[in-house]
Amino acid sequence: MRLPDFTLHQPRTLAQAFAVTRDGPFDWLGGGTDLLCNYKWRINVRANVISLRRVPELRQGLLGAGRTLSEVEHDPVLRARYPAIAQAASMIATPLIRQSATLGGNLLLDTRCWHFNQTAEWRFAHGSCLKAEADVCRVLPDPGNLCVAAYSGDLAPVLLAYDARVVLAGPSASRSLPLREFYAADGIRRFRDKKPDEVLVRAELPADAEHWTVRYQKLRLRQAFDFPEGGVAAAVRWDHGWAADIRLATTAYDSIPLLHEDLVAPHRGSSLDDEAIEQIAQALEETVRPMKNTSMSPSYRKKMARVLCRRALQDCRPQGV
Amino acid sequence: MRDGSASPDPVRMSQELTPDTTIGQRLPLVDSWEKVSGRGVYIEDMRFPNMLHARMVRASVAHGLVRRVDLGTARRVPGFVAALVPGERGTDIHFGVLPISEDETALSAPRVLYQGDIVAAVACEDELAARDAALAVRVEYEERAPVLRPKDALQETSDPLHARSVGGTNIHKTVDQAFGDVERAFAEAHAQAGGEFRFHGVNHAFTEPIGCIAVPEPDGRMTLYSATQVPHYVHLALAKVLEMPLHRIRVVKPLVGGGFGGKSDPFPHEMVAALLARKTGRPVKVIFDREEVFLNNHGRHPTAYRLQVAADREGRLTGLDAHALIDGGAWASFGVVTTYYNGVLSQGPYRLPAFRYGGRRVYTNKPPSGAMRGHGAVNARFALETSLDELAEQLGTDPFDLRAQNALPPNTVTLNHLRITSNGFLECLERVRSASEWDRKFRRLPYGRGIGLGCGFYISGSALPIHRTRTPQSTVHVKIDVDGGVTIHSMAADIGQGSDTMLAQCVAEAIGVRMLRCRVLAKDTDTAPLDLGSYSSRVTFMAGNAALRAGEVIRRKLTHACARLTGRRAEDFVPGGDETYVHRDEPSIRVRYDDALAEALADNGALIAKGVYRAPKLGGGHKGSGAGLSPTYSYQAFVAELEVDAETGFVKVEKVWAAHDVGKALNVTAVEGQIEGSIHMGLGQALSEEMRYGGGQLLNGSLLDYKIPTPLEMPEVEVHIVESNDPEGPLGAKECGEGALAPILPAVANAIYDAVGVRLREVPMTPERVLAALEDRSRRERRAGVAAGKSA
Repeated sequence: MRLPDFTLHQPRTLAQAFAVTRDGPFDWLGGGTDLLCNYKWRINVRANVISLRRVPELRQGLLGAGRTLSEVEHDPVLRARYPAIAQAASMIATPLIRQSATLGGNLLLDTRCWHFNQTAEWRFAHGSCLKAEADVCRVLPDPGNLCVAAYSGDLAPVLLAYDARVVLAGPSASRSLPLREFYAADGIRRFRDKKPDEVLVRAELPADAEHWTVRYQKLRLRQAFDFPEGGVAAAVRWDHGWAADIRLATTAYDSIPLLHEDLVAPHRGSSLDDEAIEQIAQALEETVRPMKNTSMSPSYRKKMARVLCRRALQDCRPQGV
Repeated sequence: MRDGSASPDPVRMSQELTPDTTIGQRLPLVDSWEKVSGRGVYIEDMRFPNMLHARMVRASVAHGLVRRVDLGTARRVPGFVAALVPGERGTDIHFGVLPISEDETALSAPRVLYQGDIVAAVACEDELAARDAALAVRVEYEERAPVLRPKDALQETSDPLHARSVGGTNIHKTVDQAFGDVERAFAEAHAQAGGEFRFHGVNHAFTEPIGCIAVPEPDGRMTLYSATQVPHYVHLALAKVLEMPLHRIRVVKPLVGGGFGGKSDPFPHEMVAALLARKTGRPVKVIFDREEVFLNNHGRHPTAYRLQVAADREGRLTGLDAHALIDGGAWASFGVVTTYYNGVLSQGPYRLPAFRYGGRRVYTNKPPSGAMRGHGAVNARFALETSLDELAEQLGTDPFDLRAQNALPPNTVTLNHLRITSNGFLECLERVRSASEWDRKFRRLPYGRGIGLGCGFYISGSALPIHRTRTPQSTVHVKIDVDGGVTIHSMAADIGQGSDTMLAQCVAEAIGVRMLRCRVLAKDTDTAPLDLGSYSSRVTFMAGNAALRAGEVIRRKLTHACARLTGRRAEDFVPGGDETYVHRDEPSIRVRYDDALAEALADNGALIAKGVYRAPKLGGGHKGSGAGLSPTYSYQAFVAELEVDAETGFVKVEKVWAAHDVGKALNVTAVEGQIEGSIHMGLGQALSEEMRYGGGQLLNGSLLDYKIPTPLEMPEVEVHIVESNDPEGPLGAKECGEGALAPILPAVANAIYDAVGVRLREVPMTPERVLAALEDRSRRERRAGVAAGKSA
C-alpha cells in the first residue's frame, strides 16, 4: 500500500519548522509509525508533513520528545532511576517500531477507534464517523459531539503517575504545564489548549520523582504489537513503611489518560495493605467506562481494570512485604 | 525403461541411501539464499514496460443488486486508462476450483454477495491513481437483506443467494453418511461425551499479499504471473474466462510468500487482470492490500459442530455421531470437499465401529471460506479430541491409554473404506508421553498449570484428482546436457514449504549425484509438465514419487553408459560416492559421473527423462466415497503444557511436545519447520485469531487487529519425528505440513481443563472466553453450595 501524496518538510531548527506551518494544513511527524499508517488508510491526510526528526532541541534531555522509544527503553539513567518509564516504553508496539517511534509521538498519540482506524473503503461503506469524514458517532448514538475514541498511549499514564510536566514550544513562546492539565476528554480535540503550531519539546519529572515507586500494568492480547486495551500506572511514595502519597493513572479506558486522585486519597498515609489495594482496585473498576470500540469487550476491560490496578499497586510495595 | 507412466506401483528404491545422499539430513532450502539476501523475486518486485496498475472496486454492501456502475470522476483522475465494468465480455463467465461448483465470475454482478465482492476494476498508470480512481467509482445498489447467520441460511427463501443451492434454501452442500449401527452404539454406551462446539473463521494471513500481473504477449498469447499454489487450475480458469485454448495461455509462478490454502483457488482478480490486459493491450498488475487479502479470504470455515462419542465398559470406542453447520460465505470454493472432510477425516486414527455424520455447508453474505492448512479436519478434530479427553475422565482411564487402546492398526481399512498402510501413531503416543513426563504431571500439577494431549490424522495427498482426468497427478521431467547439471521441470508449486528442495533431493538421490548439481524450474506452464499444485498435502508424496522415477530413468541411462565403458552389466553399477558409479561385486571398477555422462551423451545428445505419479484406485462405492481417500495418512500426538491466569483468563503455552509420523523425514530442517509453523498457526486459531464482523462488515482486516501470535506467544516446541517408512511414499515419506496443525488446538483445550477445570468449546479460547468459563463455573458452584446448604 502506498502513501498518498504530501509534501515532506524536514526542518533542522524549530524556527524553520514554525515557518513551514504557515504553508497550509500540516501534521507534525515524530517517528511516523502511527501517522503514516493512518495516511495509508487515507485518514485525515494533510498536504504538508513536518518531520521533527532533524530538530536537535527535541532530542535533548532525559525525556526529549524526539528520543526514540528504543532509546527510552534502553536508557541507563531511566532504567536505574525511573524504571517504569523504560518498562512502559519497552511494552509499546514492537522492537522494530520502537526504533522509529518517539516519546513525543507516544504522548501525542492520536486516539483510536474501530470505526475510525480503518481503510477509506471501509469507512465509506460504513458511513464514516465524527473523527473522519462524517458527523455521527458510531459508538454512542449521542456522545454530545464528543469523540469517544480511546487514548492508547503507554507513556502518559506512567508520566502522570510521576506528575510530570510537558514543555511546549510555539512560534512566539515556550511554556511548561503539568501533564495532568494537557489532555482534553475529546477524542478529536484531544488537548485542552495546545495550539496546532505548538511542538512538544520534552517531558520533565518533578524533583521528588525518584522518591516514588511507579509500576505499570498493560492489558493486551499479545505481549508485543498491541495497543493497550487497558493500562494502569500506580505510584507510591513510601515513608517508613507508610504510603505517604499514592497516585493512580489509567490509559485506554477513555479518550484521555486519567489521573484518579479521588480513588487513592482515602488511602494516603495508610500501609496500603491488601484490603486497601482491593478497595482502590474495586473503585477503579467501578470508575472506568470503556467503550465498545476496541478489540476486547468493554465489560472485560472494565473487569481487568481491577486486576491491573491490584497488580500495579502490589508491585509498588517494597519487595518482601 | 518403460517410462513408468502407467504403473501405480510404488518406486522401489534400494533400501540403502546413496553415499552422496541428502535424505534425512538438515538442509537449507534451495531458495534460501535468494530469499534471505533480498534477491528473491516476488510478484511485487516485478515490473514490465508500460505496465498498468489495477485496483478492484469492491461492494460496499453485504448483499444487493448492482443497479448502476458510474465511473463518474474516476475517468478524470490523472493516469486513468481503463475500467472493467459488469456486462463486458468475460466478466460473467463462471469458474471455480471445483468443476462441480463453478460459481465465481470476474465481476460480481448483478448480485453482490459480500461486502468486499469485486464489482468493477480500474487500471491506471500508477498505484496511487488506481486507488483514487477506484474510490471515485460510484456504484448504486438495490440492497437486499443479508444472510449472515448460518442457521438462517438453512431456511427456505424466495431469493436464494445462488441459483444452484439446495431446494430453495441457501444450503450449498449436504453430506449424510452412516456406517454401522450408531443408534445402538449410543443406546448401549457405557460412557459418552461431547457437546456443541463453535469455531470462528480464521484467515491464512500469509506474509505475501495476493497479487498477479497479466501480460498480453505480442503474438496474442496471454501470460499471467501469479502468486498461486495452483498454476494449473488458474490456467484452466483463465482459458475458460478468456475463451482461449490452453496453449495460448501461460501461467508463471514466481516465489510465493506463503499460501496455506489461501492461494489455492483461481481468483476473480486474476481474471480481472487478464481481462484488463486484453482490453488495454498492456501489462496489468494487481497487488492486494492486507484488508483485501482478508476480504478475499477463502480461510477456514466458521463452524458450529455437534459431536458425541460413545465407549463400552472396557473403554473401546463404539460410536461417533457428528454434525457440522459450516459457514461457506459467499462462494463455493473447495466447500464440497470441506463438507466431507469435516466428517470423514474423523475416522482416524481410531477404530470406530459405528459412525454417523451430517454436514451442511451454507452460503452467507460474508467473505468466502475455503481451504486452509489442515483443511476440513481442524475443527472436527478439536471436537473429537476434547470429547475423548472428557470420555477418558468418565471412564477413569488415562487419555493416552484410551487412545492407544483404540488406535487403528497399520494395514487395515476403516469403516468408510480409507486404506490404512504405514501407521506410526502408537510410537507418536509413546514418544510424547515419555518426553513430556506425562505420567508425573497429568492431573498432578498445581492449580493454574496444566498439561493436555491432542492427536491427529491427515491425508497425504488427495487420491482423487479434482477433475475427472486420466492424466497423472504429477509429472516431473529431468534433463542433463553437456554441462552436467541436472535440470528438473515440474509444476509443483513451491510456496515456501520447500517442494523445490524436495524435488532436487529426490532426483539427486535417484541419479546418485550431489544435490548441488540440481536446479529446479518449477514455475512455468510453458516448460513444466503438469502437476496439480500445492494443496491436500500431496506434493512430497506425488511429485516426489514422480521425481524419483524420472531420476531412476536417468540413472539407468548412466549405468548403461558405465556398462559400455567397462564391459560389465549395467544392473551391477550402483552409486559409489563422490559422484561415481561402482560395480557392486568388483569395487575397483568405478566410473566417474562425468565419464558416464559423456558416454551417455555421445551420439544421443541430452539425457531426457520423465517420471509420473498417479494414485492407486482406492475406496468403497458409497456416495462421497472419494472424499478423504489418500494413498497414505500421517499421524500425530501432541502434548501442550501451559499456565492459565485465573484472574485474567490469559493462557500462556509454555511447551509443546509434537510427535508426527512423517513416514520418512527427507529434510529434517524442513520437517521441523513445517511442524513448528503448524503449531504457531494452530495456536493462533486456538487462542487469539478470529475474523470479526459488524453485520456483514469485517471489523479486523489488518495484521494489527487480527491477532496472530507473536514470537513472544510462541512456546518452546520439541519435535519428535516418527518414521514409519511408508511403503508407497517417496523414500518412505508422507505429509508433514498440514496434519501438524490440528492437534495443538485440542491439546491446549485439554491442558486448560487440566489446569483450571473448565472445558472451552468456543474457539479461539481468548482470555475473555476462558475467564467467562471460570466465572460461569464459580456461579454454578455457588448455586450448588447454596442448594447444598439449604438441604443440610
